[in-house]
Amino acid sequence: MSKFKDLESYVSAEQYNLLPFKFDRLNDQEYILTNMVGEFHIIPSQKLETIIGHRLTEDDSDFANLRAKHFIHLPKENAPVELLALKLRTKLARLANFTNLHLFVVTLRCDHSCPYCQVSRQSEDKAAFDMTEQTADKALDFVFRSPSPGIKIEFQGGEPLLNFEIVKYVVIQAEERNKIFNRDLHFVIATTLSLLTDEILEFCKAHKIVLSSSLDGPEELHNQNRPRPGKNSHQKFVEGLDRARLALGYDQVSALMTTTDKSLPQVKEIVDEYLRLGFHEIFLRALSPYGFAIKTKKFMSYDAERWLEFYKEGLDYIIELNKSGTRFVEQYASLILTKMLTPSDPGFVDLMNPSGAGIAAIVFNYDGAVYASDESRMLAEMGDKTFRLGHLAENTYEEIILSDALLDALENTFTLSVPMCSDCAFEPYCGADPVYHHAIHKDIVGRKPESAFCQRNMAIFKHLIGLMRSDPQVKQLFLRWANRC
Amino acid sequence: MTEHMQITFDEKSYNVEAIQKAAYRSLNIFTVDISITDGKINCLLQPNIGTSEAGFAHSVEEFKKDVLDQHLRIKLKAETEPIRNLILGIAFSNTGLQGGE
Amino acid sequence: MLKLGGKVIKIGNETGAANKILSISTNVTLPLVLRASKLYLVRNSNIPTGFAHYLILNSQRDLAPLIPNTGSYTIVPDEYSYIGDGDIIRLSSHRGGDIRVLFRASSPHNSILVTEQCNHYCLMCSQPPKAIDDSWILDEIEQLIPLIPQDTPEIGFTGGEPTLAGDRFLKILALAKSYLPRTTIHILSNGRSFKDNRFAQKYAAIEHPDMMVGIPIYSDDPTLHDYIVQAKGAFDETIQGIINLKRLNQKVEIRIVIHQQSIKRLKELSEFIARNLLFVDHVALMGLEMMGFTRGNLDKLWIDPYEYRNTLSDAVGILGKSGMNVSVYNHQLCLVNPDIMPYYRKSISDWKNEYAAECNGCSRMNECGGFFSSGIQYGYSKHLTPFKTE
Repeated sequence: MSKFKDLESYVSAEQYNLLPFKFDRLNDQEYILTNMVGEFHIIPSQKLETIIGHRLTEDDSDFANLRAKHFIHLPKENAPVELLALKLRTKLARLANFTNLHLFVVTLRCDHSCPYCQVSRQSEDKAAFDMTEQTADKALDFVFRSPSPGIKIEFQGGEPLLNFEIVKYVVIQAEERNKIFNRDLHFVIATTLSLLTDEILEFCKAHKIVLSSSLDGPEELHNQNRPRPGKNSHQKFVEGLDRARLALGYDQVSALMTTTDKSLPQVKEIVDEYLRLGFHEIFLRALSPYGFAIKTKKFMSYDAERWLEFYKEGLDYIIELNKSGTRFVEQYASLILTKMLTPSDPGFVDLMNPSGAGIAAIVFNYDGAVYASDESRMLAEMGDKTFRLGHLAENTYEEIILSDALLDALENTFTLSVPMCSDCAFEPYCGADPVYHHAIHKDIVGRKPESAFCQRNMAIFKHLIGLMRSDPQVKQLFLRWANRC
Repeated sequence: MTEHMQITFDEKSYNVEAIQKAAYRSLNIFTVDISITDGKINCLLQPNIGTSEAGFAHSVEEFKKDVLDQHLRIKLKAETEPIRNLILGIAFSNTGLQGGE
Repeated sequence: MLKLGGKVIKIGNETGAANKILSISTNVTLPLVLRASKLYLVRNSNIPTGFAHYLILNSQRDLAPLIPNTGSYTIVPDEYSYIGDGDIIRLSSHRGGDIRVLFRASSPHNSILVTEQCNHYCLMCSQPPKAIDDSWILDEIEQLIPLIPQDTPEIGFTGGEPTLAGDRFLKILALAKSYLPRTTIHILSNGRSFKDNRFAQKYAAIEHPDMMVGIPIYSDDPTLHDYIVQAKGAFDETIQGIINLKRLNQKVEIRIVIHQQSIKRLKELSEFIARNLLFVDHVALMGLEMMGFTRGNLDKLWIDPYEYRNTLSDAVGILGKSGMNVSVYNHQLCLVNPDIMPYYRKSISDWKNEYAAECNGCSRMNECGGFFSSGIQYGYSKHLTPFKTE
């Protein structure tokens, strides 16, 4: 006599209900389903109609998984709805913090003249292109209006070190004001490292300022991409890197790369250069089509297909490195994987919905104008002021944050309501990029079938999923990357 | 020059919105002129300038599959709209988003 | 395995209450005023006067006549020779006399049974439920708590399902906070009572500085979980209970017993926890205990841990990478993969553990938790392999 009931007694007699989800064809045989918070499940094509038609049976191999991942639920269950709501709050939690990253363009002067530059640079002796203390004060007023518990101030240019006086001023003023506001305050200087002095390094060390620099690849490639008088950008970078690491700490200097047509055949060499110089991560970026890049037609010289080959080759190489015991991360993949595999959102400005422009990050130009993003500033330098939100001397915080320029861009590009994105299964991993679409397609939404942004991202999403499915070791590696934030 | 193609859908079995959405997805390969006469939805598919025959044929096939997908999407969305609103309501309730989980 | 309760051999000079709960003293110089509430453990002929009662081991029964002023005494079997200073004993004079050791001062793992009632009927339950009114236990616990030494690091509350005692259980927790403000409390519960938000709020209102509820989830599939605990709707209510507790900032641990049923979706469960319950404070993965219902359900439950060692590694890997606190309990070292080591705890309660004959000569015995005594008796892995010193 057994008092124990068998498994069948616990199977529900009732038909299941659908929870909200989106789907897309992953390949000829399969669909990918994604729920409201980016959890995904892959099914054979024939099953889609069965699932949506409420004909999937409990003994089907996919039933338990679809139920656990919140694609279907049984009536009378409360947990699925509660958990989905909780997960949604977690994904959106950063929104309430509002603006974290504040970019101060302290000068347009630069000692480099990079063809793809996102800054319209002037030559070294035009002091008319530096930010003043007056402007800096107003910018700081703006900064502390943000409710974000974490505030990051990043100095950009040109070359910020050419106006180091203002950098010092802003840092000291910000710290002073922060005694009242008590935020988690961080400073970054985006610099080529070519103009470091002991005085600068001492100041950075005293105020825990992190340096973000550029490394495009091995010496020849780097110097081709980044011309400067003396043709020695790479050498200067390495010297600066050693000095900065010694003075500030090994991990206090990071590197970002820019991709040009010259980079495309050399991805392994670029990764190797990063490794050689002691870096453990790289961000394989696409080229932004702004500023001198458009003027010099640099970005036109390759298209999404070629860049994807470059990316896949680079990612494959990096995976190989990891498998043979060298820890190295590809950061773009890592950000996407966080969205795919964890309950959090990495808060990466370029892949956010609503768009990160203006709300996750904001730019104060040397002249006091306020822009939604760095790219917005670039467009303005080329004559297109669409994303100029206002001016520190002329407009209040409210006027800038509530300006039509910003709100229209946010509302109209919200991915859950624009054509194609709203239905796209990969939308939870993607973002709106109104500035890019405006620049290239003259429309902040853009026609996504024509959009290189869309093509590129969708290809990467599918590629990452494919890699995880075909190799359990890669799945584990990606899970580690996803949880870095 | 690649030839255009005509596809007809029965108005009783197909939803114009679904066809429009599928047409939108294809617009980097071809454009679609949609008209309705006598209970039939007529679609005139015209390949974009420079599209190859093979590329066009492949996209037409994708378009037809897409039409079916879009119908399912419309059905799914309608059915899950109430519970989606419920989830959103709970997610945004209490004291707001500050504090995450 | 220690004997914690049973019949006594003889009770002498008894005049007091039929049931008493007393704390043991072995201190001959204990101040006279304190002796009236304590139980003296007789070890030699030097027996101090004035204690409430005296305890004598059978092998020393000849010392009984030496008890001063005809103090009352109980003679117990030698199996209770482990009893020591600070232990708390219940003595009953009914039906020839019973002894029960309620609390062991020298043990890091004291567990207090709150009730044997339960609304689950788990296939592997080590404390099979009884549907009787045992509220007298709650009276006893209220007497017990004030006697527990204040420097006790941790006490546990178990059952059955402790929360079925409702407000009286909450009262006991408040009592523990009051008498033992620096003692950590660990509660084993299925969490369903906390689905009622008012109960959860009353629980939170105790504001204990260090209290955690350990709640089992056996699968991400509600049907499978409900089957394992033999209660329909259990999974849904347990999850709601956990959400309510965490909303009120209470500490929650998820406990998973690994056996043939739960191993089926252990990896999926880990992914579910990492995705939905990232906010819990701890996840404990545990080996099967061969007690209670387990033996009767062995055909449905037993799986050699050696067979599932890779699945265990996968599950722990997923939870660990997501940043959660994870522990693996009640497994033998030679049956798990080395990647488990950061999470492996030598954990079997000290009154339950033993080693098998195959373990002789193993160089890592002191790192290994060994077995439940029930495991030695009723079955264990065929793959035990002693470690050799290099």
